[in-house]
Amino acid sequence: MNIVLLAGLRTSLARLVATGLAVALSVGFVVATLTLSTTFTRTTEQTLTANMSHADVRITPTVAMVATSDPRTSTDVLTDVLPRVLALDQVAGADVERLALVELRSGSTRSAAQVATVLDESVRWQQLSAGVWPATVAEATLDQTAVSALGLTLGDILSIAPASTGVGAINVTIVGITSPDSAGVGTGAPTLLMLPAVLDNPVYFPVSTGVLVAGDNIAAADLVGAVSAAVAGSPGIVVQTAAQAVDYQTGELSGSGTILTSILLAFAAVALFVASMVISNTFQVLVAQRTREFALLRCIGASTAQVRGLILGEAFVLGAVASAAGVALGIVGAGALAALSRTDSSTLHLGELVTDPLQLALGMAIGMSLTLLSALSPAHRATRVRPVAALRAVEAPRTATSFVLRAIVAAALIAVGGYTLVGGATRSGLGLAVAAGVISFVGVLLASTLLIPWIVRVAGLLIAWTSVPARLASLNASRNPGRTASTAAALLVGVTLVTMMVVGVTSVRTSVNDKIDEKRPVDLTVQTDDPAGFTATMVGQIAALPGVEESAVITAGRLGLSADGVAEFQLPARGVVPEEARAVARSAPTVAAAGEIVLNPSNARGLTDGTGVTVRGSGGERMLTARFDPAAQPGQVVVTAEDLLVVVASPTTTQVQLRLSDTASGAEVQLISSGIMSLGEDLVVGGGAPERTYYAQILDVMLLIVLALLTIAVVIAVVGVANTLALSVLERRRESGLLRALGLTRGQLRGMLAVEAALIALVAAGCGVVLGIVYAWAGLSAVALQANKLSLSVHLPWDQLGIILGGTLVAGVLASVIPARQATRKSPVNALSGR
Amino acid sequence: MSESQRFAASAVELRKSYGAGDSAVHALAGVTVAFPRGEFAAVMGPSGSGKSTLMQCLAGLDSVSSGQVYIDDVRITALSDRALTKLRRDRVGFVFQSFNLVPTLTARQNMLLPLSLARHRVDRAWLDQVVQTLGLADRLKHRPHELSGGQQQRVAVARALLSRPAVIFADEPTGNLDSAAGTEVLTLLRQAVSQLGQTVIMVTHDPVAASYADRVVMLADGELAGELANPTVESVLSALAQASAASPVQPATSSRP
Ligand SMILES: Nc1ncnc2c1ncn2[C@@H]1O[C@H](COP(=O)(O)OP(=O)(O)OP(=O)(O)O)[C@@H](O)[C@H]1O
Ligand SMILES: [Mg+2]
Repeated sequence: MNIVLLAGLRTSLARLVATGLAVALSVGFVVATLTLSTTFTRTTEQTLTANMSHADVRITPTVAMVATSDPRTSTDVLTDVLPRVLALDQVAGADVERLALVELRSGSTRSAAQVATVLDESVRWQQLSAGVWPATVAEATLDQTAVSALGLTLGDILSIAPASTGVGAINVTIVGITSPDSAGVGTGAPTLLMLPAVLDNPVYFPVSTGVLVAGDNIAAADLVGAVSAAVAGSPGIVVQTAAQAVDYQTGELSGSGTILTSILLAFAAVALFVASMVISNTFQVLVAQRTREFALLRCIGASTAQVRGLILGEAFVLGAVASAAGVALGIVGAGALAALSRTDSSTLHLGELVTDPLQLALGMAIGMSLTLLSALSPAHRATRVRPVAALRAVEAPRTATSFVLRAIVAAALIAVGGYTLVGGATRSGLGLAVAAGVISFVGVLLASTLLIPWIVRVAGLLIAWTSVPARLASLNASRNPGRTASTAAALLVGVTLVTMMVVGVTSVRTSVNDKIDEKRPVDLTVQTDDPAGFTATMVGQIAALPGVEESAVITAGRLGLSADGVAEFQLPARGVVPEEARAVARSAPTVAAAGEIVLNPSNARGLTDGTGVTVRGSGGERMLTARFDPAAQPGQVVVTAEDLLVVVASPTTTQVQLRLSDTASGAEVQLISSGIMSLGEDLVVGGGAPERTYYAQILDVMLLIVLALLTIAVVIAVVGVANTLALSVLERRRESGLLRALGLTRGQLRGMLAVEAALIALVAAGCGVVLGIVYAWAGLSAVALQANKLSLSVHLPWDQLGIILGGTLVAGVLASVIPARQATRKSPVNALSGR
Repeated sequence: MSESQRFAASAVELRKSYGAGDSAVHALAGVTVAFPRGEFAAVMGPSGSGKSTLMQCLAGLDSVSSGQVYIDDVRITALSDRALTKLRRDRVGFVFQSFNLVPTLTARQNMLLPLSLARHRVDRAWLDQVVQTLGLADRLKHRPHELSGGQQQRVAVARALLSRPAVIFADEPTGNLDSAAGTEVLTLLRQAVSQLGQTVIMVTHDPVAASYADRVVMLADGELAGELANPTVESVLSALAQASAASPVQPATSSRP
């Protein structure tokens, strides 16, 4: 039998290449995820160890410790215990690590940064690459990365201000440059080291992160005892040896790492699932093609076990080779990503890649068992080939019971899953919806093997009349229903998930934007602390900034309101130019028409809606008509700028409202804001744009990452399409020869295969998009239900859905290129005679 | 040129070798032969003598090592693949020994395939006549696997006739049929030649089949080994005996695996 196995392998090797690729890709994904996760943990450990290189013991807070301006509410126990620790004989030195977030201004650039304290020399772990340590409160060191990013040198002057308020900036001189951490999990923000005295100013809201203690010729464990005794009674702290502290913090940090790893592995599972469909399909086809060979073997005395062994033997060899390739691929991929993380723009700096043999073995085992398990059912089918098949070309029959059973199970799963899904989406929430979604999707996949051939047939009929190759293609696409169905199903999984993510994220994004538009209709508002308001020149300068599309000016004054039987009362008034205000706002703003005064009903004080109101200001008096608007801001009235100018002698321009381009990114908004602030010291910028771009950015990045991860599954499915097609081409070799002899050109033969692939791809993509939208709806409804009050509605991004359909179609057609090359390479004679 | 116009297909000094060097097989070692229009020709010879190779080269299915092949006065040895495909579609018909039909298409679709590929209109009257003559009227909607071997072969003949090609090539068209079905197919081909002036070139091992032809061309060892006009079963048998005696190096079946 081994000879047969080897001979079989040699002939089917070419047919297994694509399948091997599918296995290798998914195994690579798993291995890369595991390796990166280990590397992350190791990097964290190294960073923490480096931070405690001079310390023997660390006092770590179990709760965040923030110093406030009021000593009675100060929660900073660490600063309090420091003197007690220093008083111990066994202690050579100790210091508190403190940290504050600041706004760093250098020239015209502003960025977020952090200030840490220069630690006592006994426990200081940072190293200088140039310059000296700060000696006064007006001096600081800055890290190498930031120095090169900001283009600074020693001696340059920066200003820093508390991040919370941004006021009270102080100037500091850069006297030293700290060498960048070899590796580390940083915030990516520039880090300044300054004397502790700077952070004693409570406006910085410094956080104490720990106390580092260096011992004086004493074992770490003994020092822990001494320090523990000294700080006994202080709440919310633990005393640990440096090694223990590293473990403790690594555990905390890699806790979040573990969550990330689990999410990544979930995507890897999807890739594995799709790969298993491709593998099983390949073996199914190979068994069908070799029916006669197996029958012959059975005729000459091979047992069913031997036939099964043949298939499983091939699967074993394929699994071993492909998994080994996958492991290598995973290591290379992880290495590339780790290298990428070490570039400056990344906030995560991973260290040397850590490859754990156990994990590599795990990846190998996953790949091999995946291949073997996927080949089980085809192997079983091979054993059902009866010896008589050698004499007659009969395929192993598909029993009617399996068909009926399949239909019943599929229908039951879809019914139960679908019903529960609707229930989860509209009543109980996310957990149930997810479970129901998985159940119903398994049902859909089962049903797809029954339904997709029909859909393909119908779609084929639609194009069959166009040309002979198209007709042949549509017939070919439905001649092996099982094969077509499993090929399409693999693609269906990918397309459904991609659609679900795209629709989900777009919907969230649109809903969030709508909410922001409603709450904060204006992109940017500029106010001034100057009581004289804006000058016309300044308004012009602001409106002329690049990126500003529309601008509106709000004037203000005080008005006295009175009417028949209503005593005069005072309210601040806003004067708006209605057209300007409408052009600027993203949702309907409160504006007044000429001769109208708009006020919130809560400010009526006896005035009635629609009646005349006498309005008096510093410059005169006028009769206006009151209009009550519940949406108007309470405590003030709105009139047109013109009317305000009539009654108030010189209204001040208190606010400029700006509308930015719809596609403005966070960086562009930032740029415009700093552009405005550089026009005057006393300008304050607010508005909805930063918030909008912030969410948009987060959601976009999220979507991008998810799509990148799902791409692997889709690529595997496309490999599956190419694979099925290549196998079919081999099988129909003589038929292609006949067609060529009868006058089908090479181009037409290629076209025929392209149409066949396109049909399968398009049907899978079409079904996937529909399913994806349904699941996105369910997910959004469930999330909205869970998050209470958050209303999320489904928004269909037509352009992106179009890209998904078009992309799948193109991928399908591309998948036919190599099989088509194979089919057209042979001369008709060779093909006809089976050579 | 005026000479060649009488021929539907011809070959000049046609050579075809497989492999190279010492192990090269010269399947055709310089064959010059011509088939006039309206002739029913049979090609005979021992197994491995190059009959199939000659037919494939004449039909433009395979490339030649040297020499020229003409079909309907077109030198096909100089044509591009695309032009050759078009020529095959329009001017050549095929009937093979087996695997003649596209399994996914019905009998009728199979018959019309070359016409549909060429996007030519179907001559309804001609179609009806062919279908009637071949007795396939009630089998048009069946797929190949629902037809008997003889019926499949008749569909192939119908397909070859429908496009009124310059020449029909048939490689052992009756090889897989019993004598009754074989007679049916041969009678059909004979009728096509006598009544419609169709040119047919048929490879066969069967002296009975050859006796339907106007002329028998003998091949041995890739070379012409004589011909026989107006053959009968007896004359063919004796000519075959002579041919194998003339080439004792070629025992009838030993070269086959
Ligand atoms: N692809 C090939 N490679 C090598 N040799 C070949 C190839 N095709 C044919 N031959 C050889 O060319 C010679 C002629 O073959 P051909 O098929 O034309 O014979 P034939 O007369 O049709 O025989 P049969 O009556 O058995 O069909 C034979 O010796 C054969 O072995
Ligand atoms: Mg032959």
